[in-house]
Amino acid sequence: MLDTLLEASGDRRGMFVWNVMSLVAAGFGERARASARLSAGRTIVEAAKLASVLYACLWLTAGSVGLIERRGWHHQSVVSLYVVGLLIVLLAWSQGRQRLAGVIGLACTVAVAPVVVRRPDLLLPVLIVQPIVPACGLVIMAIAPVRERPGTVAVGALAALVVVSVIGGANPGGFGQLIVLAAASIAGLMIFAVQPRLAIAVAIIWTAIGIELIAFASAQPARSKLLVGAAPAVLAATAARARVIRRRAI
Amino acid sequence: MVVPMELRAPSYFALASLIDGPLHGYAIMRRARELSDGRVRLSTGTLYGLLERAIGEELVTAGEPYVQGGRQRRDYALTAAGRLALEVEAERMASAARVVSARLRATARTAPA
Repeated sequence: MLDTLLEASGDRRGMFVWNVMSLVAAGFGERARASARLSAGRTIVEAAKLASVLYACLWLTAGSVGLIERRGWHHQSVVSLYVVGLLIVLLAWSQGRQRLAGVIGLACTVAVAPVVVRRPDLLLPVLIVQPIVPACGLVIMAIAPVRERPGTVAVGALAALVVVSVIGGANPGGFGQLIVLAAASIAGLMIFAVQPRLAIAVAIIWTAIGIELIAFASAQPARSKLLVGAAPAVLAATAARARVIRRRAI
Repeated sequence: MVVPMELRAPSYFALASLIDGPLHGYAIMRRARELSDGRVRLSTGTLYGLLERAIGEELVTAGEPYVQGGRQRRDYALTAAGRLALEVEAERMASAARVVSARLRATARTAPA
């Protein structure tokens, strides 16, 4: 292949760059075909797991920001334990220990549920959506784990994202969480053609947020409905993508 | 019945370049450009991508690597299934051309000047 590349490029730098880029594109094309060979069910299951990991990042951001604002672990022992639990979940996931991540994640969700339920300002749909959506991914991780370590780049990017979000998130309104979601959304869109899992995971979270906004009788119902449509839209795009890639044509 | 693989233009001319015998990668690129009158210019990525898929579909086989003129080569050869796919695609294009040509001839007599 290398000799063909050099021969085809001749002495022209532009041709060499074009050929190298075409090799990179061909590599991405092969990865896209490999991901399209997975069944729709398997893709959605893996996306649900990723959604629960993203949820853990969001709550880690929020919990850490809360601890920093209140200046100390000793003031918020429940939140501190919860943050530690989330760190263990993410660490386990990054090492490919999905069952461990799922079990600890579910334990954290169950432990914090009574605290959340007691909040008078949260409506029933929010109480249902907030724990259930990530809990689905955690249950799948616990009962159907895959011995697959996420890529070093993905883990590093998520870790950096949480740190940046915690630093930038010491403001009201969940600005830090917005950074995590926005960055994940952009990354998901960029790699959608090659691997749709991240886009589906982020879309699941946006749909859950849309349901919560509707439950709060949001002053902007159009935006809420747009968010609710995120997951169905991305799933439809994923199905269309798979159909195009699987066409019997070369 | 197995549905023949649909061939796009780069794949069609790349496989057609192997009709006369096995060729290595760069030779396929040159021959495909000749056969298509310069319309199909395969990049390295496109060539190896389509060869990988063609090998996967058993339209092409890859030979053992060898050294020629100081360069590492590997020849690719068309299989019987590859020849069949080319025949089917050639016939499909010829049939489409016949239909359009017949309609153009039929309407030429009555077309406005």
